[in-house]
Amino acid sequence: MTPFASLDRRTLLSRGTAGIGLLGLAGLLRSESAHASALPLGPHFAPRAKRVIHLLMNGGPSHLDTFDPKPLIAKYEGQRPSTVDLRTQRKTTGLLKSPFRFSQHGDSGLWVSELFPHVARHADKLCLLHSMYTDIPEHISGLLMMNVGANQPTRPSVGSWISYGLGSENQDLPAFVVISHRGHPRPGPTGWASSFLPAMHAGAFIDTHQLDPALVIPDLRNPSLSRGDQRRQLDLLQQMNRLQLAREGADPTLQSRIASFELAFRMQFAAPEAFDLRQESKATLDLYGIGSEPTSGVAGGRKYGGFAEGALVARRLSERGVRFVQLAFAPDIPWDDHTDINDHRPKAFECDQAIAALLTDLETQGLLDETLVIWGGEFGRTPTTDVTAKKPGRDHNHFGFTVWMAGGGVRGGFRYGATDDFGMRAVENRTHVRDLHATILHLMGLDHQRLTFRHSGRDFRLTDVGGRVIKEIIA
Amino acid sequence: MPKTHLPSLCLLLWMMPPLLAAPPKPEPEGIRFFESQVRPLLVKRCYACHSANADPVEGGLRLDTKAGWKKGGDTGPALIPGKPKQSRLLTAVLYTDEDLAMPPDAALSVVEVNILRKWIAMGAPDPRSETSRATSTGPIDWSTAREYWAFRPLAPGISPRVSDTNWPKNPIDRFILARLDREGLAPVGRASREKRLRRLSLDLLGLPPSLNLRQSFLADQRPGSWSRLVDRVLALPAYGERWGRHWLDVARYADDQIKNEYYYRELPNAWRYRDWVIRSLNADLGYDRFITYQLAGDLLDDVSNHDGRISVGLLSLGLRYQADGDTPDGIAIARAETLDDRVDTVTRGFLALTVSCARCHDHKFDPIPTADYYSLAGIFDNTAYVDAAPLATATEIAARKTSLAYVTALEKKLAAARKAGQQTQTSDLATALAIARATVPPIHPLAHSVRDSGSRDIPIALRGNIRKPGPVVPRRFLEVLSRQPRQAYTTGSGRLELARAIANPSNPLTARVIVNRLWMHHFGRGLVVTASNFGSLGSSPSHPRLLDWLASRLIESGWSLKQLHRDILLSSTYQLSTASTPSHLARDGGNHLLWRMSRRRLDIEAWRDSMLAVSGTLDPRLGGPAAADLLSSDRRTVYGAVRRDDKTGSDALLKLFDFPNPRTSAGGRTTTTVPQQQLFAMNSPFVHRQAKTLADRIHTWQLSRQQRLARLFRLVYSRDPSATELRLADEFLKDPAGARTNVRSLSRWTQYCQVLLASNEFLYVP
Repeated sequence: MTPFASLDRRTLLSRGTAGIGLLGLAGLLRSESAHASALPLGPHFAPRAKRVIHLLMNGGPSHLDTFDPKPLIAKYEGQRPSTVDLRTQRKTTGLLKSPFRFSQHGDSGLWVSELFPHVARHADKLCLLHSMYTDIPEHISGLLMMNVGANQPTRPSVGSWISYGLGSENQDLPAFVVISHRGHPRPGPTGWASSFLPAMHAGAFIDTHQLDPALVIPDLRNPSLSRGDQRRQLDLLQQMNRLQLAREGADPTLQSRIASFELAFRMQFAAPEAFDLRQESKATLDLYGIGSEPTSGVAGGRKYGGFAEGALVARRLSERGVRFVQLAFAPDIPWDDHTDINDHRPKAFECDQAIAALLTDLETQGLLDETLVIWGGEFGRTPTTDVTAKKPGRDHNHFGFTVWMAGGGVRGGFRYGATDDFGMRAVENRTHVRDLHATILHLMGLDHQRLTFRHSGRDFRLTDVGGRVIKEIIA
Repeated sequence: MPKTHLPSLCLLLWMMPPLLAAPPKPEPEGIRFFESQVRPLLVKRCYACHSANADPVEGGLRLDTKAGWKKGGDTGPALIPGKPKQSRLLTAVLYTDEDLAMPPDAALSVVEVNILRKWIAMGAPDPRSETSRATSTGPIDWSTAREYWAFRPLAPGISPRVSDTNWPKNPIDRFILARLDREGLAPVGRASREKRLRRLSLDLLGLPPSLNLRQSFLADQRPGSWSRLVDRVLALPAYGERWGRHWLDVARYADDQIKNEYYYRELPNAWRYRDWVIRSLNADLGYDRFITYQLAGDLLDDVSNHDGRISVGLLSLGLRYQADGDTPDGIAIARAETLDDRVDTVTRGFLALTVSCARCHDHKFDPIPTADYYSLAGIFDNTAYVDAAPLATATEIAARKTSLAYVTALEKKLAAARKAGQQTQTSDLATALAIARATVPPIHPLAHSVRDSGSRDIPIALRGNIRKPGPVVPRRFLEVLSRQPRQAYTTGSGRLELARAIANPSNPLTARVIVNRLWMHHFGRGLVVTASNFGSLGSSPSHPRLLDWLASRLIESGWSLKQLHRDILLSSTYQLSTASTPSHLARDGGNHLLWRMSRRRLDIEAWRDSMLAVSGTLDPRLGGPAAADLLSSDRRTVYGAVRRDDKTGSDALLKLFDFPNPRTSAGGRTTTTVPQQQLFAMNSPFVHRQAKTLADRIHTWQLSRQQRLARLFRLVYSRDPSATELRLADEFLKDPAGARTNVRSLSRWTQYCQVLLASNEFLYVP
């Protein structure tokens, strides 16, 4: 046996064998099934969730004002008690008590602040991870860690890894879609890059400001030919291709491209429907709080708006089999309320109803069990006061923050981990972002240590050299 | 038993003996305290990451032996007996230092912390005597390490004996045939002249052969016509455009510098480096010079033109990381990542070694200690970025400066005269100023360049964290590639010394790596499949002696890449057809033995350029600033802007067709087939425009339909149409449905031309 005969498919795929067309072969083999997926490797074990909807709260909402109440902050307001190390990498002053009231909800009695009254009604579905931490208290580093699992902008994003690992359930749509309204979340396309994974695994960005599928999938429509004329032209093309194939002899790379043209032809008519919100009932639009025009607002110098439309598009894509949908709260870093923590109020108002509606909607359709919904920012905020503030605001806090999950096989009405008495640091069951990633992959049926890609001399994985599956939160 | 159960079993077995073999004599109080309180705590909370059974042993620290904590981890001894406050172990469990906080999952309780505090205060009594097993990779045995194939001296040996002495045209063929003989396979036949012509043209130029080239080659019936064709095509400037682009993949070339969309800037002069690469290949600049220019062009004193300041674009155009704020960690990481990019690009690019893997720990698979990484990183740490280096002599720069100063002076005088109301003087000064302004020498062209900024050695960063400095290491070359004791670099940054070490005939890797890259682009796959990794995780060469023969030949020819192309292109191996037989496919379906020419798909550059070429719209200009949008430009794809951030449809097009991510060096491309690519072929305005232009072009030919089609096939496919193809064309063009026309619809001829451009035959190299 020659040494290369033992190379497995993965090895061949991962090596840059230009022209060998193995990916094409994989595509061809897959296309024999009804829902052809491009290159899924398949789950490592039975998944709990089939799809993810990540509600990215970019900018870093305060855990202390939303889901992680700390009464001691109020007690020691203005002070810096020596029992806890309140230093971050920048200077802050005394403790700042939350201006928002907290109350307990559901049978589980989870605490939720008045900022999220609609979400609070789903308390028994929420799994609060109170002990999140990350590496660097800066937005780009934090968002990169959350989205690509590294501080460098050279790694594939979570959605790309999942697309690479599982493929799409729907060949007519990208496997990974990122949604925002009127602009990109920071740091832009790096956050949904496929990096060294094949380009097909990159996130497709949709701006709900222009819900035109042709903008999401370039060249989706033929501007000149009717469907019949195009079919006639395609028939000629395929005849020519088959003549060449007959001359050259069977060749999977040529055959896969022939099959791919047929997929492309069908995609033109199947994809646009997914983005058409007019197909939704009045009741559904009301549930999400969608009016005749998208909302818009500014608080703390940060723009937001149109979140509800995004949430509904997220559901439509998810139910059609898009593996990973990331819905950013708004462009750039809207939750970054250094200068007045009260600016959290209109922002929470902007998304609270739609998030609750998404959970209700998924549940009603029986999809919540197989859809993992994740809510959270790139870090939390300090219990102390930002020195730059005119009104009391909070600085970045990477030592401790809250992310919640719902559906997709996680325990509802559950709290995991804790920050200290002042909400400064995660102290109990500390959960790094890489642990969150390992857990997401696990719920999707993927082993984070086995989902690897050989690049520049070594096997890369989403969780790099870290990552621990948080088994305790799995239902 | 599944393998995964083994570690826990081992842990159990390992833990048992000390418990069972408890000493019979009464224990002193300290040991009793250790056994009852401390050991259980260490086992429960620390051993998972800090014992012989941990993989990896975190931070290099072991807490399962006395020797382990005495030696400590990367940051020194874990504790000082009797001094809790000075013991890092206690600091760690107190959770006051974020970098050190341990255990990472949850802090110890106050009671547990107090146990450790008390134990250390007692002098840390510890009966555990097992000697600490070496946790880091032991010292590398260099003579063994140098026995690895990639580090051995070049050894081409003599050309092997072969079964058929007529088939080989040069030693390349003998190496290929000897291997095929051994496997009992025969090469397939030679490709037709038409196909070889098309293959050569697509390979070397990234363009199909022009009708002129085709005509003259087919008419040349004298012996040596192939060789003459090779020489002719190699001399065309399109060669540099094609092969320069291959190098730009390795150089992770881009026309912008990006951190995120809020910090974005174009690099308006990056194209000068791209053009320098193209120019150098066209001029057949020796590969050793090619290396030296890119690493240290600015330091060469024999550069009379300004190329040296441009050619270091390899370094200056790499990602420059910037912190997103003012936190010390963020700033430190930005600097470390920038250095990493330089080390990675240079070592994978020139040496196919993944030195970057040694940034946090000694390389796990190759003989590259962390110290070697920082020896190289130190070189780039002393290399500063120069955003706008003037491409002018000192005299020219001074002249412009003087001239500008004169203008400023006159302006001041003029203003003063105006203010004072001195009419005559005002008018005189105005005239003088106008003349002065008109005679200021034009601004010099600028390059993004680098310069030496110092000559400091840098410390190893423990676990890759440059805020945790270890020992300082001298700047010098990699140990494994140094036959003599290494000299530390002393001249400036050391870049010139590094360049000379890399571009050195005694360094076998450099030549092996570049000949393999050339081979890869001619055959679709390198003799070493992993073109940028010759380390032990890469693949080994399918034809090691051929690789060495090519490498030796390159060095003997004065590092001439064109000579190497010639050798390869004149071989019988290159001229094989793509045909196959079931038995060949069964024996070596992947064609690793090269019994035929593998079928290759054109990359996006060659496909797009080919469309422009046959439609007659290709802009023949060489070089110049980047074309912003490849969807509307008629320039060759190599001249399109390459952006690290995907901002435009132009970027999306490149990415859709597997163009590599320009944030890191790319040793090869993957080839994917996805429906979105076919949507581009079917629906994009770009392809429609090419099809329409091609159809218009056809109509200028004063020929019958039959003749037109024949010429169209020769133009697009470099061959004549078959009878079946003519019949299909007739049916399609005559179809009454095609008569329908409106402003937006495409004529039948246009649709027909689009079919040819979208077809497999047009996209694949024959």
